[in-house]
Amino acid sequence: MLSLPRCLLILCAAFALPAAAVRADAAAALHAAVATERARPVAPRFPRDAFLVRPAISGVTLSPDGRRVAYLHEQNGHRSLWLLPADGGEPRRLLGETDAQQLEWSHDGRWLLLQSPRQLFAVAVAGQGGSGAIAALGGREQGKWVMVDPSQPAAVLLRERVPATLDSPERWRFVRVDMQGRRTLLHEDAHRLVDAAFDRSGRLAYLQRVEGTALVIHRVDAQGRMHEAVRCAHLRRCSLLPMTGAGRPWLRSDLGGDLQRLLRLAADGTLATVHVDPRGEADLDALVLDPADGTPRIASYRGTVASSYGLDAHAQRQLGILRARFPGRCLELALGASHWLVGELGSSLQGERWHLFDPRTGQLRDILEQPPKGNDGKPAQWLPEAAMGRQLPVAWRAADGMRLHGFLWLPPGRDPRTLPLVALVHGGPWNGVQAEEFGSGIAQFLVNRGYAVFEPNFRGSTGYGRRYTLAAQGDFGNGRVQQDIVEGVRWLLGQGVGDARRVGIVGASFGGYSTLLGVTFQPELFKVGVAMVPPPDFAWDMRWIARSGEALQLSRYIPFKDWLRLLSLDLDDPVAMGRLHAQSPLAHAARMNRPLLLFAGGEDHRVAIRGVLGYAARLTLLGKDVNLLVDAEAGHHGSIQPVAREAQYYLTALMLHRHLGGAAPTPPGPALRDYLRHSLRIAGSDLHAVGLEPTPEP
Amino acid sequence: MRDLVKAELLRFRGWALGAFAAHLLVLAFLARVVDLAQQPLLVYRVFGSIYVLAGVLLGLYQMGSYRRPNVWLNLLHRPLAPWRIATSLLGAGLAWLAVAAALPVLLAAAYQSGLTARVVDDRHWLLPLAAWLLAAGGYLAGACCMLGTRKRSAAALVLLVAVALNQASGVWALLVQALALAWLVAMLIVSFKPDLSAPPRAPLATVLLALPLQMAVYLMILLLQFGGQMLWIMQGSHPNNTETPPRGGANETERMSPKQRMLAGLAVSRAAQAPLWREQVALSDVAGIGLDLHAVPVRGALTNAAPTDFDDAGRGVRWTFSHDRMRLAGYRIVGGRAAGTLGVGAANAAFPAPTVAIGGLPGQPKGDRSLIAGNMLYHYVSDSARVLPRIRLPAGEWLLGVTPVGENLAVLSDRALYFFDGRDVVLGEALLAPRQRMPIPGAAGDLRDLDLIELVDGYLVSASFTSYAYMMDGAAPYQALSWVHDDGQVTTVARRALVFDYPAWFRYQAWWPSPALYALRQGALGLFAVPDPLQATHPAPMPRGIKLLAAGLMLVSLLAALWLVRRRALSMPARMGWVLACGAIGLPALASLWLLYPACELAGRRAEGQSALASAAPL
Repeated sequence: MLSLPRCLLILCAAFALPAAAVRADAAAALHAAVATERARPVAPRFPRDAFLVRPAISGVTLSPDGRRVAYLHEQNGHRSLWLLPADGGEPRRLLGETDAQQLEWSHDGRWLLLQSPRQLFAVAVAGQGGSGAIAALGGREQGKWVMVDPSQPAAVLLRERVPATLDSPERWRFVRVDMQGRRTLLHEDAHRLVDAAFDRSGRLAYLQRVEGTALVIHRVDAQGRMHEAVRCAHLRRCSLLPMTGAGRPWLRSDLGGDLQRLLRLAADGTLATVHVDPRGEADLDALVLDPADGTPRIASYRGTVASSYGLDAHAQRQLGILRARFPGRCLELALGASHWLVGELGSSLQGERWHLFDPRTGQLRDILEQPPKGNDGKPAQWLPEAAMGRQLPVAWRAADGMRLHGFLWLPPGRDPRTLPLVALVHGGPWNGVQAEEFGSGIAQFLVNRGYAVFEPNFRGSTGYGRRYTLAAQGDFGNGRVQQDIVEGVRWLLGQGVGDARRVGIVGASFGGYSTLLGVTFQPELFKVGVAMVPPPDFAWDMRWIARSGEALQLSRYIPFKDWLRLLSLDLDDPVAMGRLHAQSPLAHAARMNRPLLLFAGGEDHRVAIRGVLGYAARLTLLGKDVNLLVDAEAGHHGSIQPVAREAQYYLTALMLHRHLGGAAPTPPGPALRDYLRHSLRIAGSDLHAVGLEPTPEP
Repeated sequence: MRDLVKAELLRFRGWALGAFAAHLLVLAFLARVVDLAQQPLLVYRVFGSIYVLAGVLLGLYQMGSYRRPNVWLNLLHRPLAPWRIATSLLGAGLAWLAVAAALPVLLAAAYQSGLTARVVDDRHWLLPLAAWLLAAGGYLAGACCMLGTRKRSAAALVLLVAVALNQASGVWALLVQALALAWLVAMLIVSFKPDLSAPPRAPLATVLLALPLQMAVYLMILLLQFGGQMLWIMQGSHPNNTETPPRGGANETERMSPKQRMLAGLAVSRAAQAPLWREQVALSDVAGIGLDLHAVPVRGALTNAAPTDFDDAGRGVRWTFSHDRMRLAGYRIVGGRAAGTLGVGAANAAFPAPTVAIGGLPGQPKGDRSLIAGNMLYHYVSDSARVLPRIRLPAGEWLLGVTPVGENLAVLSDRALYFFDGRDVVLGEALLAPRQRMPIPGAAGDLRDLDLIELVDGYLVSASFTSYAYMMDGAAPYQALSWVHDDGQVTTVARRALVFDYPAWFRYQAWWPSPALYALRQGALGLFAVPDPLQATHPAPMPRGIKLLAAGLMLVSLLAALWLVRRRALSMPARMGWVLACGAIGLPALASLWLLYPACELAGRRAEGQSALASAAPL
């Protein structure tokens, strides 16, 4: 007979064994990947500006008939509109100059729609004439593009606001606009409108609107009466696909589950799952629709790996061909009647590559092979893929048992145990690092400079389901979320990745905040920090955003404060806010004893520059070794000036080199030195050592 | 008398009609290219100066042509009282001035009113009268200059200076001009006598001539002081133009950059956070809070203290504020057709005060504008051509400017600085509620620089009160730093007393030469004027030494008058009156006594000559 302690031991073991097995699997997978990376040849060091090249091609889009590809080409500071025949032949320039940022085809393929921040422009591409601006976007009415109207040959759906006045409250409306700019009011509502779906006759069959803190989908009957169909409350995510099939709409939603998936609404109001990540890991990332009837054909997921699945046999067959041709890649697909447009993304692939796929013959053709733009605006070259690091998925278990995901980058051909390790923390925090993401290039840059780079998707990150995102429970101080990052780093060190004496932390926005937390509360782990646009007090910054125009940009539809409350961050809860403040780097500036580099933007509308300056002032007063660069024209996402990005790379490399021992940065050229001289506000010991000082006040 | 008038009219007919035609041509040309009714103050000042100058020249010429002894004798040798002769000459001159100065303005106003959609308010119909009053004032002053001894006759011009500097507006300004005109008429009548050099004898005539003379002497003293200041500047040690301004003074503070100014203020702060703020100021871009209004527009004012119109390029409409309707009146920029009137909200209500258009607020569409009207800020929505109230300050305050500060708005009134959340500007169109209010720690007129930085927990605001520290109207210069806490609480964290850059005698140079005339000057400048909130100051207490200096000068003046009156042919009451006046008014009165009354012997000889002339006249 078993004793009670033995029973308990067995029970514990029974529970612990699967977890241990998972840990062992994760470790084994990591070791295998590390070994592969180590076996690769050592990469040469590439110049700094090679990581800063930008694509010259953007807005690539396939016509519904699949016979033409439209795109924007930027050259010498001018953006032009081009049309490429899918069957071969030379591209044709349609517009010599445009400020458009996005392109769409009309449903009949006879018009190209050019979206710029202020207007929507229709370009006739079938020789019919009549090109011109058809609608204003933005502005007082906050005109916003919703979709190409799939029920009409050539029309778009816009969402507009009728601002509140003293006499009447705010109202919202859906407006159909044809290519001559004629407007048809489809629906006007006292609630904020979000999304719509049409039936085949062109009638607005479903609409989604904000009701309190919920997104509610209503069926619109033939008399225009609305009947609630689906209520997405408590931050459930829902969005409609443009067309209903047999009167039944498709939804992207996490209703009834944890992961966002493709659902279909039945006539009785029940929701049926059409497709969900077969790996049971990631939210639905993208859906590819049939250009003819709007039926979803392909579903893509981007968790720890990028994968696409055909939703019918034909799509599955074609995807099989593409997967064989582009193994491990993230594929961005657009379907046309004759061709498919294939956008190829990879973690070691700088920029996106474009191909045309003929589904009848299975042939692929590379298109749009224009060279990227260098820092100086001149044609440059993509970095060679063979010399780039690869994004290795990693998973670790937090102290509370939650399984977390992230990615590791290793310099090819190097012993990972001897490498300095950099935790590169993403912003948000409601955001995430996706699989097969080359990204801005900072990770690859650091890898090329000899660092192992760890990108944790801490709890609160998006892309891994609702529970993963909400698991943060508002604990964004020196609490659970920060521990996820710290434990991830320690786990990697425990697996023989990185030198524990040479660990740094780098991040932007929330990542910058995490960096400040790291050098303040975990200085024994993080020896140096580089924080870009960091809020030094998360609670204060949230309150500040709530008063600014940025609030609705973040929460999108639901009022910002309600949205935060649903994310367990109640701005009106003095206890919760007090706790966050008490755990903030701002309140513990005296504890910050690591070399720190701060970046701030004068036009940052999300992280108040006053917070960064106040924090830097506090550190200076305390005699801390801090460096501060302020770009007066930069926003939250940095500056459009190439030299500003180069400055970030240079200074980051300098700080990490001096404290973690990576490769020394190439000294700055005259333009960069000039920029640094004008933008530096505080030069600590590291910048001082290389002769960088702020320009004294005249 | 009629013949004299007719002859004088005929005499100046050519000149007057020529001036009328030239004036009309100029106005007609300008009316084609600009809206003459909505011109900035400078344009009206230029026109007014020309009218005055033309009047002065006419007066000088007309009376100068009669002033030669034989002509003068001939003129007065008529069976008419001198005042009737004067009235005849003046009547003709004033009539021609009405034709040359006022009639073209009247025709221009009629053209704008009848043939265009431009705004012509009641106030604009007063402009012809104003033009005539100015020209007539100049004319009478010019005439007076010719009817007296050289030493004192130019004193009449001082009344023109008073008109130019008076701060009344609208019909009150016309009343001031009319009063000056009346005084000049009286001066001219009492001066229009056979012996042009004879001093006044009647008490009223004495006052009429002596007071402007004393003011002119006072003005000369001020001009001499000004000249001395110019020499001081040329010499290079004037605080305004030394390379290094006096340490700790108002000038030094004014010359500082906003950042230096804040740091200087923080240097004397004993607040616990001051060291931290110093670091933050050193890192921050200090924002300067500016004014969009530099003068408060007054309803019915003849001129425009601030622009009254703005263009909506998107709609192709120019909106002009109409004082009569208290609404905006529009007309098409191309074609000039009327485009209706625009008031506040759907009810098209009247604005509470004349509006001034400034730029749109951050986040508002490009064509939108903000309108300041009294204590209100309105949003002109170009899309719908509607005007919506957005900010309402407490009644009685004047909204003076709006400055974006980071994500928020700083709104300055004559009494306080307000902060509004930037989000609310964009999200809706309702009235905004201020998050913080900081009373200005001083008077609006003294405020020279208002600088601030954003803190994590509010704002640090520096206010420097140095505007009039160089003169007696201003406050003793100082700088105050306030911490506007996020919860709305305002704490003064530093007050830095600044040093006067100028000695007391310099600052009070307008006062000590004659406290009485200084008071008269101030009274004349403010006569019928609505106090300008932007000029309100908290004057520093007057030093005792200055009072003693003024008293000493008055005593010297009194003693000198005692000595002087004994050497002038004056009656005992006149002597007593002059002695008392010199004691009360000071040196200008003494100078006027000396200028008005020649020494006894000379006066006696002149009296004899004059009586001989008078006895010969009937022959």
